[in-house]
Amino acid sequence: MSKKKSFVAACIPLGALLLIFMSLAIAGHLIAVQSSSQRKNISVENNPGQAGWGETSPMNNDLRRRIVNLSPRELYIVMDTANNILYLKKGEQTIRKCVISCGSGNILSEPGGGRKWIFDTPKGEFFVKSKIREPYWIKPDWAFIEEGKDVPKDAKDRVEADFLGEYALGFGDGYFIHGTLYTRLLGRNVTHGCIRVGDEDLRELYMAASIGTKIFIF
Amino acid sequence: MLPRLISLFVVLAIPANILGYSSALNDSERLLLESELTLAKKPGLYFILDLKDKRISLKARGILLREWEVKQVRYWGNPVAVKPISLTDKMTILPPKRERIEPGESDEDKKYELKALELDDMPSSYTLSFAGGIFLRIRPEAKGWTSIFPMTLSTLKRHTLFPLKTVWFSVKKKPFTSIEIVLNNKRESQALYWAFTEGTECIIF
Repeated sequence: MSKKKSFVAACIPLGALLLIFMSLAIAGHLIAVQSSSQRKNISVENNPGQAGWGETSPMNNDLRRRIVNLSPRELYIVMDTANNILYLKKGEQTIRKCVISCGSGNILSEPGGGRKWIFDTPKGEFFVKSKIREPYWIKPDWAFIEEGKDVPKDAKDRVEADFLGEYALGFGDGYFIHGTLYTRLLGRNVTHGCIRVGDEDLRELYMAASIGTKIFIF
Repeated sequence: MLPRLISLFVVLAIPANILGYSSALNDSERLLLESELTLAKKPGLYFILDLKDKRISLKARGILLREWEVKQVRYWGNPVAVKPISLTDKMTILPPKRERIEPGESDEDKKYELKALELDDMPSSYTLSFAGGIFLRIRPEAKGWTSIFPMTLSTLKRHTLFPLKTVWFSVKKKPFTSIEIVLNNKRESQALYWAFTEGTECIIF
């Protein structure tokens, strides 16, 4: 009998807790339902006094036109860094699709706790700032640190030929679209942030792009 | 007389209702277009989450860069105004980790073995937090017996955690919106995580 009593006594606070919990959950549901009914009216509430159909449609069409006018008229480049694909496009048409290599996302820290580099390909909107034939690579500090070598004082010691392929397209802050010796790594994220492209694709890109060509990277 | 009056009422009431509805549609579309114009004028990428048409678009300067088809949407909490909002945080149980390069160990020929941060390393279930208490919970469609656990967890969350959160935020007089988005597959979900960077602006429509 006493066992039964103690069981009932233990159940009471548990039941009370469950009741509170359920009440709160029901209250939450009711608030959510009320909010979702507000959502249906949000656009109307935000624009009191707006007239109907025929009057707002031309306005929307005008807005649409203004958005379209912001898109590039000429060729542009789109790069998908997740899938390592580059698209050369004009309007909605894809002119060329190339397999590329983008940034590895790795981190390099200077021994002794100095500088730190994150090898990401930048995302956003850029444009072609330079076009170079037979480019030389001016090795930055991180390239020497990565190799465990001392950073040279003489600028001549930084120059490396035949490393970036036949062409390079610069898009700012030391980032380039260039060739590669490691074509088997195309399609993988292995670079220090630059975009590596195969020889034939690079030639096509170089010929098609001009200074100012828009680049969108995501 | 009465049937005539009824038919007159019907003739007048139906178009008025249609006009009112389309006006509301036009207004919300106008808000979307105005917000997009604001974002398209700026250099940078932006997202449009079209919950009605179930698609997520990544755009820049009005150009569509990539699109994700949304399988399922569940909406919870306060309504979201149609205006640009920025991503403040990406939250996940196991965030992807960057590899550290040890100076002197670099060898281009060994790059095949080198670990890099790639699409496969991205999480497929995560929460995107936006300014104004808006949370976007993204996950791929659960398939097979392995989906039992995440599905149960999701249902439990929907019926316990979210109601409690709604009450909590309501008492605190803070906005709270949770939107659950189910994408077609794991890879799509990972690609969306990759594309969203902190500070990216977004319009929820």
